[in-house]
Amino acid sequence: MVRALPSPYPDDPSLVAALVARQPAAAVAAWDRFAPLVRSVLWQSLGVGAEIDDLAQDVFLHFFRRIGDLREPNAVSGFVVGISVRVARGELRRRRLRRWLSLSSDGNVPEVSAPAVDEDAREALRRLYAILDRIDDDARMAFVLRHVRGLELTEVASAVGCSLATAKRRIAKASERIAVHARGDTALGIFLEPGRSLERDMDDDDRDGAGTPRGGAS
Amino acid sequence: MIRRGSDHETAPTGGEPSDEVVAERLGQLVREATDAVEVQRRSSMAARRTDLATRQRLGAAIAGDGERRGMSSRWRVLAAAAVAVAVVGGVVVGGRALRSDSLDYAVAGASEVGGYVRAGEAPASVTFEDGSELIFAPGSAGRVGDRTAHGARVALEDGSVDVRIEKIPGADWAMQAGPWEVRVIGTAFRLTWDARGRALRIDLHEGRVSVRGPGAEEGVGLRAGQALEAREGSGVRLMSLAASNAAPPPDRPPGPPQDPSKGTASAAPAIGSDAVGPGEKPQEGAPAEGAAPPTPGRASWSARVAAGEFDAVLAEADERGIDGVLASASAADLVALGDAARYRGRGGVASRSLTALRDRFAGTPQAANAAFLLARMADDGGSAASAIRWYDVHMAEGGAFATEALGRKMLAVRRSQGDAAAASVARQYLSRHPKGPHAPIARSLLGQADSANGEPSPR
Repeated sequence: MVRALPSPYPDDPSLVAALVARQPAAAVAAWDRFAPLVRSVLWQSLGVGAEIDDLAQDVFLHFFRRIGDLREPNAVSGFVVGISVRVARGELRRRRLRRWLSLSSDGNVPEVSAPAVDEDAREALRRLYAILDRIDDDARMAFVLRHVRGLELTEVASAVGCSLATAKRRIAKASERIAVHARGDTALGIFLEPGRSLERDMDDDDRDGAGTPRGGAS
Repeated sequence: MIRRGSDHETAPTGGEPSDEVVAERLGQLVREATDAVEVQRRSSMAARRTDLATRQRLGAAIAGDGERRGMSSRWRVLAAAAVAVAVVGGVVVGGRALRSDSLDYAVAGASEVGGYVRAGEAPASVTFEDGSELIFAPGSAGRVGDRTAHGARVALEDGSVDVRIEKIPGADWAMQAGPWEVRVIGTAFRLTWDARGRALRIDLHEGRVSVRGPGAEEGVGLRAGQALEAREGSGVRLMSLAASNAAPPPDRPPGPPQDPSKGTASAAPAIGSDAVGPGEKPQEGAPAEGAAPPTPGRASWSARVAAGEFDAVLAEADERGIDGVLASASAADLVALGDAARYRGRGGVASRSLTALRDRFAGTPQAANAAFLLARMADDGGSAASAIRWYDVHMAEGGAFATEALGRKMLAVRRSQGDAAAASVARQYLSRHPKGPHAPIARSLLGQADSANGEPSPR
C-alpha cells in the first residue's frame, strides 16, 4: 500500500467548511475519512450483512443534509456516529416491520455473514445478534456503543439522544439480559473465557501456516 | 471518541463472569469480527467498485441536494447520479465505455469531458478503481488518456497534481508533462508543470519514478525524498526534498543557465548524478570533495547542498569557524549545514547546527523540523530515550512530520521499553492516523499486547 496523499481538507474543520459549501470533492473526502467508521457502527449494531453499503450511503446523505447543524466542527466524528445510530435504529424498525408482515421467510434478521472470521465466531455472532434482537432497540444501541465501541457514558447518551441516567439504565438492562442468555449458550460460552481473542487465534494460525482462522476453545 | 479500557476484569462472585465482563468480552468478539471484515473488504476489488460508485453518487448528491426533496434518500442518490454528468463542478464518471481490461475512474470536484479534467477554485480528484488517485490543485488541468487494466497515461496540461499510485504487481502508469514523461509503479509524489514557462518539478514522497525528456533522454531515476526540477533548454536538476523545502520556495522551477559567478543553476549536477536524501549515505558519483572555497556572491549553502556540495559547505563552515557560524548564520544556512553534516557523517556538527537552529529560531517551522531530525539522529544512534523526547517535541510544536514522528516514536518505545509500553503509543497512532504508514505495525503491536494481557483489542 502506498501512503495516502495529503488531503485537500487536512483537518475536520476544513472538511466541514467545504461540506457546508457543498463542494463535491469534500463529499468524496468525507466518504474516505468516515466510511470505515460508519460501516463499523452499522455492522456492530446490525450484524454484518449485504445491506450495509446501502445504509452507509443513507448515513452520508443525512450527514450532508444536516452538516449545517453541526456547531463544533471538531466533533464531526461524534456527529457521524450519532447519525449512524439513527440510521441503524431505523433499519431495526424496518426489520421488525418486515417480520410482522412476514416478508422474510423465517422472520429472522439476515444471517450474520462474516467470511473473514472462523465458523465458531460466525456461530457465536449469529447467536449474539439473535439475543440482541430480543431486546428493545434503544437498549441494544446503548449496549453496542458502550461495550462494543467503548464509548464513555456521556458519549453514549449523546449518540442515542437520551439523558446520562437513561443511558446507564439502558446499558445495565441490556447487559443483564444479554449476559443471562450468553452464559447459557454453548457457542457464546467459548468467547467468554478470559483472554479469548479472535486476533490471537488468527495469529496462531498464521504462525502454524494454517492460513485460515481456527475456532474452538483455547 | 475515547475507548474505555478493560477495567472490569474483577473476579465475579462464584467464579462466573459478571454481567459487565460478559458484555466486555462479547463486545470484543464483535469488534474483532467487524475489524476483520473491514480489512477483508479493503482488499476486495468488488468493494472498491462499490466505493467508487458511492463516491460518484455522493459527490453528485451534495451538489444537487435540496432539489429533489420528497424522495427517499437512496432514490435521491440514484437520481443525483443520473444527472451527475450534467452537473458542472459535480462528480462525473469517467470511462463510461467500461471495458473489462481498463480501469474505471471517477472525477469529483470538476467537469470532465473525454478524460479532460480542469479543477476550478477547489481541488478536483480523480479516483481509479484500483485505488490510485490524482488530486488536481485549484486551476490545474490534465487529461486521462489511454487506460489498461494495470494503469493509465495521464497528461498534466498545467498546474499541479498530487499523485498516489497503488503498488500493485504489474502496475503501469505514466504521467506526461510537456516533453517529459514520468514512469511510476507504486508511489506518491507531486507533479507540477508550468505550461507557459515550460518548467517541470517533481517532489517524490514515496517510492521511485523514472523521468525521461529533454536533458534526460536516457532517463533519470528519483528515490523517495528527492525532488527534480527541469526546464526546457536548461537541463534537469536533482536535489534533496528536505533541502529544497528548507530553501526559500522558488516561484518557478529553475530558470535558464546563469553566470557561474552569480547563479545557482550552474551548481546543479549533471543528469544522472544522484542527490542524497536525508539519512542516506552519499553515493558514488556525488559531487567531488574539495570544491573551490566559497567566494562572495556564490550560491547559498542551501542551493549548494541541494546540488550535492556537502564537503564544500562543510569546508567553508570550518574555515569560518563552526562556533561563529552557529551563532550568526541564517536559519536556511543552519538547515543546510545540518544537512551537509548529516550526509557526510559529521554527527557533532549536525547536532550542533540543529540545536542552534532551535535555540535561535525557536517557534519557527525550521525549529520544529530540527527536532525531528535530532530525533532521527538519536534514533539512528541507538539512543531511544533521546529520540522519543525529540519526537514528542516535534509533535508538540506541530511539526510537518508529526505522523512519521508518532510512528517512529512507537517503534522507539517498542525497542526500548517493550511491546506493552508501545501499545499505548500504537493506540494513539491509530486514533490519529488510522491509515498512516505505521498503522499495520500499530495494529500488529496491539494484537500482541492485547493477547498477552487478555484485554480487549482497542480499535
